[in-house]
This record gives sequence, C-alpha cells and structure tokens, in this order.
Amino acid sequence: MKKIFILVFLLLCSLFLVGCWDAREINTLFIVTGIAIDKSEQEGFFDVSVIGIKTSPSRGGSQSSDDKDKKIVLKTTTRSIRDAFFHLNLNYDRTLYLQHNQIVIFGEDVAKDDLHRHLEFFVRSENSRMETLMLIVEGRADEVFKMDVKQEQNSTIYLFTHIQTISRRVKHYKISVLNFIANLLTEGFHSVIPIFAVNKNDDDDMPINMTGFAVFRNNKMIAKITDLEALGFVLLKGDVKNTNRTIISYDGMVSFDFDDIKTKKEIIYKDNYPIKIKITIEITARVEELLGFEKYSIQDLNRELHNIVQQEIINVATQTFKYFQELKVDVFGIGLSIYQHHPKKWNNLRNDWDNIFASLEVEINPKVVIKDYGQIVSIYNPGGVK
Amino acid sequence: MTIAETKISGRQFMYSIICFIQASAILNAFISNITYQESWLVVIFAFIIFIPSVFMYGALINRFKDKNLIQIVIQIFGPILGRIISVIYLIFFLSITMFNITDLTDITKTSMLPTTPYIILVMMCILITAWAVRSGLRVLTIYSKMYVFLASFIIILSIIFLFNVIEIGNLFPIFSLPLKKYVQGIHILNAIPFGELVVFLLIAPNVQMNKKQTYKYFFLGASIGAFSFFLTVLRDISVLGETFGMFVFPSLVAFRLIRITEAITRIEILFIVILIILLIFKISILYYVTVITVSQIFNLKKYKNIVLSVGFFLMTAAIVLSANSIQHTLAAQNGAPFIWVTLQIIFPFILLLISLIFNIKSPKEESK
Amino acid sequence: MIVIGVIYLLIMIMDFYPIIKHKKVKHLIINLMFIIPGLIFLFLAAKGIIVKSWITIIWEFLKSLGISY
Repeated sequence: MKKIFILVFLLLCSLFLVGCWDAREINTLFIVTGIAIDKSEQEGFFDVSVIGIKTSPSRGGSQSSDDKDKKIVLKTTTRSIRDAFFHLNLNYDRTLYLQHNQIVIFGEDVAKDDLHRHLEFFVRSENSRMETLMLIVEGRADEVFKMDVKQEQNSTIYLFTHIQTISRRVKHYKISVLNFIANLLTEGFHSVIPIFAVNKNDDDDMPINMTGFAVFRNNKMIAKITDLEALGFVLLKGDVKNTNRTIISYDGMVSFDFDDIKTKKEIIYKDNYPIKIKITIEITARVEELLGFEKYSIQDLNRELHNIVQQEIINVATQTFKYFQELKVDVFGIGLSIYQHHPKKWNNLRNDWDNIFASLEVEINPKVVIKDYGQIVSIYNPGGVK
Repeated sequence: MTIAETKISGRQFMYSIICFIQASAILNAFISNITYQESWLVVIFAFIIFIPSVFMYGALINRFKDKNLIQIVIQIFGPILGRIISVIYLIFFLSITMFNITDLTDITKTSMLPTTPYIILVMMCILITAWAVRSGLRVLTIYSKMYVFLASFIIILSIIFLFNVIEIGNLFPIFSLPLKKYVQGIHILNAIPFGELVVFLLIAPNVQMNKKQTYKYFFLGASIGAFSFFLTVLRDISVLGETFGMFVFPSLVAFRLIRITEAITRIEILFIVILIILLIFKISILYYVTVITVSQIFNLKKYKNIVLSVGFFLMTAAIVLSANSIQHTLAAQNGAPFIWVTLQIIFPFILLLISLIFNIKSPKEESK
Repeated sequence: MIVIGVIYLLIMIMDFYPIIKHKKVKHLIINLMFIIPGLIFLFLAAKGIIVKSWITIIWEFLKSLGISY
C-alpha cells in the first residue's frame, strides 16, 4: 500500500514539478548575441540596441529588411540598461535571453563618459554572464549591427569569432566584463579595451578594422593607442604568443614574427621610493620576409638583423611607455606589482601613484633570439648576386 | 542506548564528514567580503586552530562510547538542566538546518529556477531529506564515498579547465589587512563550516570504530574536507581576483569562465548539480541530528513518526527566514560566530573537562 | 502557499496514521509541538510578514554590549 502511494506520488511529481514556472521554450525566446550602447541626443538617455538570431525559419512571402533574414535588431532609448530590456520585453513578442550574449559594444562617446553605470547591470543581473566580451567602436556602436558579414550569421558573432582568433595570439585583445571590473577594482592598475572601426566601404568583405586600444583611467576613456603604440603596449605587457613587425632600415626591409613574448619588470628603489623601472622583453623572432641586405653574409646578416630588431623594440617600447607616462596611466601593472609584493611600501605610494609612475625612468632590455629564417637559408634575390 | 540501532563503518563516517565540509564550498561568500583575496590564508589558519577541537570531539566520543552528545549532556548535568541545555542544542540544530535549506534554495533559484516559488523548492528538499532520514543512518551515508569522489573530481577538473585564466598574482598581497579581519575570518570559519562537525557527535555512537580509529577518521575527514574547501577558495580567488569579494556565489562565476573549446563551455551546471547533491546530503545529516535530538529530549524509542512534523516546521521557518536574506548574511558574518562557537567548541570542551575532573564516563568505559 | 502547506500536511497523514492507530499520545503531542509553530510561520509567510531570526536578535543584543566586529 505504502509502495503504491510512493509510486503515485513520484509519478505526480514527475508530471507536475518539472520546469513549470521556469519552462523556457525556444520559440518564446529572443537569443541576444550582442548589445550596443550609444549616447542619445536626449540628455541623460542612451540608445540601446540588441541583435539576436532568428530561432525559427522565416515564413515565405514575408517582408524583412534584414539581410539574409537571419538577424534581428531591436532598439530603444532609455536611461538605463535594465529599463532598456524592460521596454524591449514589453514591446516585442519574445523574451530577451541574455545567456548567449557574446559582446557588449560601447560607442566612443559612451566610453568617454562613464562605463561603470552601464556595467552595473551586467555584473548584478543573474541573466548576464561575466565573460561577455567588451569592445569600443569609433563612432556609434549601433553601426556595427548594420555591417554586412558574409561569413557569420550576424556581426556580433563575426566580432566574437574575430576576437577569439586574435586573442589566441595576443590575449590582451580579449577583455571581458569580469576582466574590466577586476581591473577597475585593482590598485595601481588601469585598463585598456580593444577599439575598432566599422569599414564603411560596402565592396570590402572585411567589415571591421581593429585600430588598437582605448585607454581608460578608472571608468572613462581618455585616449586611444594605434599601430606603433599598440605594438609597444603588447611588447611591454608580455605574455603574447605571436605578433609581427616590419622594419625598414637603410639596407632593406625585414618582417619579423615575434613569438612567445615574455616581459619581466624590475623596480629600482631609492629610500623606499621607486625611481626606475627595468623592463626585460624576451622574444623569439622568426624572419618571415627579407628584402635587400644583399651585401651581408649569413653571419653578418644575423648580427645586423639582431641589432635592428633590438633597436626597434627599444624605440617602440620606450616611446609607448613615455606616452602612457604622459597620460599618467599605469596599464602595465607596475603599481599592482608593488601592491602585491610590497603592500607596506604601496601604502605610502597609492595616493600619488599616477604622478610617481609618470616620473619613473625606464630602461628597456630586449633579449631577442632569431630562431629561424623560414624555408630558405639565403637572401632571395632572383637575378642578383648570390 | 542509541535510538537508531543501525551501524555504519568508520570509513563511511569519515566520508560523511568530508561531504559535509565540501557542501560548505558555497559558504566562502561569508568571508569573501571580509578577507577578500587573503581568504585562502584564513582557511589554512582556521583549520590549524580547529585541529584541537577535532581531537576534543574524538576524546568525547571515546569517553562516552555509546552515547551521543545529548545523552552526554543529560548524564553530566542531570535530567532537568541537561534537557534545558539539550533544548538549546535543538534550537541550534534547527537553525543550522534552516540556514542550509535557505542556502540550497538560494543557489537553485539563482542558477536554475529563478521564477519557481520558494516554497516548492523548500518542500521538495524537505520531502527528499525526510525520506532519507526515515530510512535511517545507513541509507543516509551509504553514498557518501561516491559523493566525495565526484565532488573532488569536479574540483580538480575545474582547476585544470581554468588553468588558462588562473593568475597566481591574484593571491597576493598577504598580511596586508588589519588583524581584526583575520580574527573575524578565522572565527567565522571555525563556526561555519568547521564547527558544524559537532553534529557528528550525535552520529558517533552508531559508528563501528575503536579508540584510535575515532581520532583517525575524524581527523582525516576534517582534513580532507578542509583541503577541498581550501582548493575551492584558492581556485576562486586566483580566477576572480579583486572581484572575489563581490559575488554571492564566487564559485558559480568562476565555473562560468570555463571555455576550452566551443564544446567545453557552460559547464557550471556540473558544479550546481554536485553542490545540490552535497547540500542535500548535509541537510539530511542535520535533519537526522535534529530529529535524534528531539527523540532524546523526550525519551522516544523511535524517531520515524516525528520526522515529517519537524520537517514541516523547518520548511515554514526556512521560508520566513529566506525573506530576509541580507539579515541572514549579516547575522552569519557577525552574530552567528559568537553563538555557534559557544555551542560547537566551548561547551563540548566544558563537557570534556567536567568528565575528566569528576571521572564521568559511559558505563561501557567504566567496566573496561 | 497555504495550498502547498496543506499538501504537505496531507503527506503527513503517513506519520499520523500509525500514531492514531496505536494511540501514541506522546508522539502526537511532540508532532503538534512542531506543527502548530509551523502553521504560524506558514501564516506569516503567506501574509508576507518578515520576521527577525533569533540569531539577528541575539546579534543586536551582543552589538549593544559592544561584542561585535
């Protein structure tokens, strides 16, 4: 009798107590893959756009303004992110589902203003994930959703895949909400976020240009670094699998691939006060392209290329470091290093660290090993003297 | 005479202790916003300070071989005062059971079932644990070994999968906080989860182990459990860094960061499932201990007929308590350590001291 | 909420049936000692009344004596 009662009870449980309140059918969800936030023309308001993928096939004969009928963009203008999602949920037939959100894109204006007020939602909400990537775009963020991407379903999936690909080589391109918040909370450290521009040329199948990094002091973007400074930043940060640099000298042009970039920092103190930073940059280089240098023998070429690359690293790294010193923004974690290993010294330095950082002398010591010259052992010079 | 006649082995007892502490992995949020990134250090110190208590519990068990904590209290303090003290212990066991039910339902609501009414989750928890309690101690602890290996496997797997995001620098600096913070952190950890091992004094009479094995299994169980807890805290801090102190469930956030390939991603469900299993186990033990305490106070020969009514009280009290989660967290951080440690460590020490001074033992021990 | 409470009490018939059958008065009294406060808490929960736990009350008392972090 008891066993029958238990069996009936269990059957009733399995019938009535499985996902009743929390049942989520896919055809009731709008799967958000990207969020874009821009400043609105109305003071104190923001334009929030979300892009998602269609979860059911389109019906024949229906009109759609979206390319390939795969992406849907929803927009609203509100005071806060939470308000935006509330309005979108109210006015759309499906519920916004944030668990697959890949990227949050901020327009340049928003980044210069205050990012923290927008990140609050992503940190606090149970529906959002902290590993969502962050990007800054030159101009307006909602332009990204208009991009025509042939390779992927929509532009945010394209961006996400793009960042994943680059970050396998240079991990500093991958900044998640968690990373940025952790950097904001970290003493003696300021953050950067990758910045890109939308390619307005419709004939070009590469819809974005990764221009460099946006530099932040606390919550606000204060500068951008591109090209040379971006390379210098990557060299000084270290922990990079692969990047490349083409150097033009008097004798020719050489293109190096830099592998396994490691950086060590040594802080020199005087009377417990940091005065100098010695940065050792260890690089394994490979020659990928070599033009000119005909007058050099193999041994002399090795020496000459070694000198060229060392000098280039010193120039680039020093220039970049001085640029950040002018901005008074320690993105390299020198203050963090003092905080982690000498907390008592840090107590005396924390209030004026930005100025102390700006006054540090820097010495760059590159340690370059040119591992190989590719598949050929001599200079490729068709028709010339060997 | 024990109320429950079933016997379990020393190893099952040890695995139960390990499971009990592993279930408290969720509770690192209690110290995370007090000792921040130095919480890993505080776990080590807290356990070192707790070791004498482990041997104290072992000594009590050995001195009163066939008696549980309530019977010891009644024997030492007499039937009236002993029962008054036992009622205080009953309120204590009811409270920690309720808090753990609240924790279980909180994690379930946060991670899996946000719109399911609280009472449904609490009722399901109570019904399942009541079934386990009614089935007896042997059924309660029979799968403890499997749970321990499963939980340990998931902890190690998570550390391996998170290797690419672990930053050892996040564990520093050390000894940068005021002394008061370390004292508070150690105090909290000695109350929750280490001090909660006092409940095993009510299970000990049903365990088949000799004097040496008592110390061995208790110490090994506490050590391995504490090491699991330490690994969890270490992993969370090294992954989350400065944000460790921000989250209600740091381990959940850490698990969400696992991304090996596109296939091995979003595996936080593994963590949630094993945590729910461990919490159900812990609640079952606490529920069992509560029911045994009631039976002992009222001299009942069988406890099965009061299980569901105690469960009803736990269910409704947990719901009322859960409405005030911020107070619950503040109370756990500030008030509970003072009250808990008195009942978990100070009072059992007084019991042992009195029994040593007045040479009070169980009749079995006296005849040896 | 009251409905769920009633469902649980119905499940408890499993416990009450042998108690009433064998006239175990002591068990009945102990059961009621937990059921009655449980019903009070259920009523409070249904009304949405927030109650301070005894730990919070003791903590506030300890705080007033200066025993707090």
